[in-house]
Amino acid sequence: MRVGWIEDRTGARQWFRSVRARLSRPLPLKSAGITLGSVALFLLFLQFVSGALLTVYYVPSWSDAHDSVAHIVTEVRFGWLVRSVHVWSAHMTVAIVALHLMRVFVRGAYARPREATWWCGVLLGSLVAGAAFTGQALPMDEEATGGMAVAASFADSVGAGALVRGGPYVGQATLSRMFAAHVVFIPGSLLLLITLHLALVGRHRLQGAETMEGSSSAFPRRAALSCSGALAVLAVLAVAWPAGLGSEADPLGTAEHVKPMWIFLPIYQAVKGIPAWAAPLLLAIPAGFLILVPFLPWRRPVLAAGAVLLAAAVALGVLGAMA
Amino acid sequence: MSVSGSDRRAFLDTLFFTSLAAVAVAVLAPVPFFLLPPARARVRRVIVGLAAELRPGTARKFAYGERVGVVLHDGTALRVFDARCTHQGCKVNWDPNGRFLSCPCHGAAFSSTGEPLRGPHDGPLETLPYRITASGEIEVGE
Ligand code: HEM
Ligand code: FES
Repeated sequence: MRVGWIEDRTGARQWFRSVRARLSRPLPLKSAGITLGSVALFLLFLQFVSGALLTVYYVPSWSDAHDSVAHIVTEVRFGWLVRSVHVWSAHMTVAIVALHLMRVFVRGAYARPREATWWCGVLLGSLVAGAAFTGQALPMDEEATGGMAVAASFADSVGAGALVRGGPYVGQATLSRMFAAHVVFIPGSLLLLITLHLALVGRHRLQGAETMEGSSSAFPRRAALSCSGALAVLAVLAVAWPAGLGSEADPLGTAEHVKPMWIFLPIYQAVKGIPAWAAPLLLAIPAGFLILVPFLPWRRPVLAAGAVLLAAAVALGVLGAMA
Repeated sequence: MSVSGSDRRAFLDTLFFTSLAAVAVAVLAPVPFFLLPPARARVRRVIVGLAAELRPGTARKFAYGERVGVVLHDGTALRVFDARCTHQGCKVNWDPNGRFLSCPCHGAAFSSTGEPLRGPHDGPLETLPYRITASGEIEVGE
């Protein structure tokens, strides 16, 4: 097939050139961490692929889910690897997205004219956390049932418990909802919002490089390098420490010492000390801060507030991990 | 009064977009109703075992529909609770030594009468009604 014919029918080459031109804009002077967003994107791509593979064997059933995951990791060829990649890149995605947020925050890149990029990012961050949470519920180990109970009761305090539980009590209907959210609603929303996020980044260009002219291959090169690094780390983690599977949840009880994924440890620890009705504030206060940040003109107090929130989260998380 | 072409176009545009919005609302309106689960028939009664077999100071858990119940003998009487911790909904366990119900999640504890003793909570455990049948079985439910 002649290239000219394909180009005429699809415009692929022209499209490719314009993408390359956008990626080849010069980098701002302060560009540390500039590839974090790209690494997040790369890891999410791995999540989509490995997750799609897992749906081939996974069964979203209250009684059979745990068996189906055990089947994947013990009997399906390379099943352990696919699951391990999915689980480890989930941890890495959450961590990288958090770092990306922190870089943007410290640089003040949320400010005018990038407010919409930032809000889109806040939504993306919540969706990534939501994906981690709902994914954790799927294997029906002890962590899973504990997590679902807690999520339902969080939702209860804002009157949306039935929406999470799918019925009066946590059970099959809850697991079905976790599954639907994890494989359809959250990934779909992620795709839409990532498209928007990238379009907005393209529109406003990178902070500090708005007026720079010329072309440079620094960004694509650094992004490729960072993604290769992430892939190497992931490969080591996934192969050397294959993702474990907790023991099957006891239908009549909550196991001792169940703890959520590390990113949720601060909340896990904080709810111990406050009345149940106040629990949603633990989410509302940081979320409110992140949403309002583009409107707050005071650089230093905002940075300080961010540092306090982060320090509180880390301290609570460490306490939660040791508890 | 004469109607100019641009007035007419503006009017038709308004009409078109209003109808479009109406259709969108009509299409999306059922979604929240769909997502809220319909009420389902609850389990009425369940036999938990022979009352005589539950020794003082011990407890037993049982499935009660989608709920989990716990029946315990506190030395004087039988008590039956929904095992759902009133803090965040984990399932409480009977501690045979301390003779209280404790929650593994954030450390709440409830007395053998369901009253909160310590830790985070939102009131006492829910009591489930029960009766002893003619053959001496514990029957939980209305
Ligand atoms: C699914 C998660 C996310 C993906 C895939 C993603 C992707 C990207 C990419 C590729 C860039 C361009 C270069 C860079 O700065 O890395 C970017 C920029 C940006 N992102 Fe994200 N992002 C995500 C989450 C977030 C979050 C959680 C926030 C903050 C709440 C955020 C806020 C921003 C802002 C404000 C910029 C512009 C930065 C600048 O101009 O220097 N993003 N994002
Ligand atoms: S759920 Fe029981 S103490 Fe928190």
